[in-house]
Amino acid sequence: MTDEQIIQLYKLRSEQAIVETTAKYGTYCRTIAYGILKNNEDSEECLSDTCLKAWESIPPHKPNPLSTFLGRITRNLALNKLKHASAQKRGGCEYQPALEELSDCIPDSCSPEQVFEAHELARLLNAFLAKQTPQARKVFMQRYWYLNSVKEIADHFGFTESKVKMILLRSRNQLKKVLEKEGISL
Amino acid sequence: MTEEQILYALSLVDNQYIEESSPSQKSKKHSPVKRWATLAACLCLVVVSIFTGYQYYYTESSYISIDVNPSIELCLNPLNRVIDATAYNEDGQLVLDTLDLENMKYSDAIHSLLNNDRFNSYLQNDADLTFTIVSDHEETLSKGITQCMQNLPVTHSIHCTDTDTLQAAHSNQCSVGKYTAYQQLARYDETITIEDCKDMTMHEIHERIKSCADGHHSYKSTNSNNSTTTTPDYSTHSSGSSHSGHH
Repeated sequence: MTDEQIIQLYKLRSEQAIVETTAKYGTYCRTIAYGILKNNEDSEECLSDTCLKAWESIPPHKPNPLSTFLGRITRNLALNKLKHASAQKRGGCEYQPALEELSDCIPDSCSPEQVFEAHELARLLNAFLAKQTPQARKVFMQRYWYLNSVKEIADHFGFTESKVKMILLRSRNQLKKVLEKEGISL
Repeated sequence: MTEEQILYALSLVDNQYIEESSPSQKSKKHSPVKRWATLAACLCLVVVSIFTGYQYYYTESSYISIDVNPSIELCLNPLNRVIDATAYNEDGQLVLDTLDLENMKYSDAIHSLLNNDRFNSYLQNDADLTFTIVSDHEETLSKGITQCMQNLPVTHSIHCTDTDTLQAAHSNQCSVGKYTAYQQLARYDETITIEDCKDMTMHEIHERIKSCADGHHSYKSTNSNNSTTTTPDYSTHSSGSSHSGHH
């Protein structure tokens, strides 16, 4: 079934939309959730919540493509779940390490109180990603979007772990420069 | 700004970046089989290169027969390096027992021979040092030998012959140099045999040729040291040089 047909089912408020979404994007969303949560049960729960969120969002949303729309929902739900689990000190093995790594990107001039609009940050991130090589970009996204471990990324690309770490370090340094440059003007 | 803000803001990046980096996307990583296959192919290439190089190095390309009384034949590869040195009589073997000429450039090998005390002992008293070349680049080798002999007080001559003569010489257990001299002598003296010649020095063979041909044939003056001596002009004579023989 095409994305348009699935969206049409959502518009018609047919529960078949959930069935078709799970059939087409269940594995994809489960992969994202499991990559972050490392737990099958939590991942399944995340998938159900994703379908629910999609049910609530479509309409009025008309996502195109549907895959990344669902992926984003799954990721945010998984991150929230992980954040909650991390606060309770259980599971979430990649959440804290990823956060600690990203702290390298925060410009020194930024105070914790400084709040940037998420969309403004996303714009800077898009600009930063556009300047990366495809390889560096994929590694960066797998680490910080999908929250995959360094080992998983290394296995996926056939790199050594040290090579992945080096690529990530270079990317973080470049992101820091971008944020420093833009941070002054914000 | 916090790390979490970045982490959450990443959710909003362009779809293309999310899609292209999805872990479900197959990466271009090489499978272990492919990696091993590449390694094996490289290994094969190295082995083939070594084998080909080895074969090339040990390809017999030219022969230089050095005859006084010692009869020594140098087999050269296409790089003009000695890949084999064979003695065709006892005197030759005695010389080679004291020398290792293999892998030397032919000119260095000839220098080594000329500087060898045992070989030098055969170059006294009217000895004829004869070089006989079988090669498709005989002129180069001939020039090299001439350079080796420059300023040396040794009477020498350089001849060239063909592979048929070489094969005939080898089938008679004789150096191609001595065999060529035997062929020349046999033209005047039908009673002479190759076995007779094997026991004769080059000077003796040349003297016999000279006496047989006396009054009928010319003799060519050949001495790089500008001292005039005579050596027989083997069959078809190449003009103006100490070379003779059939090319």
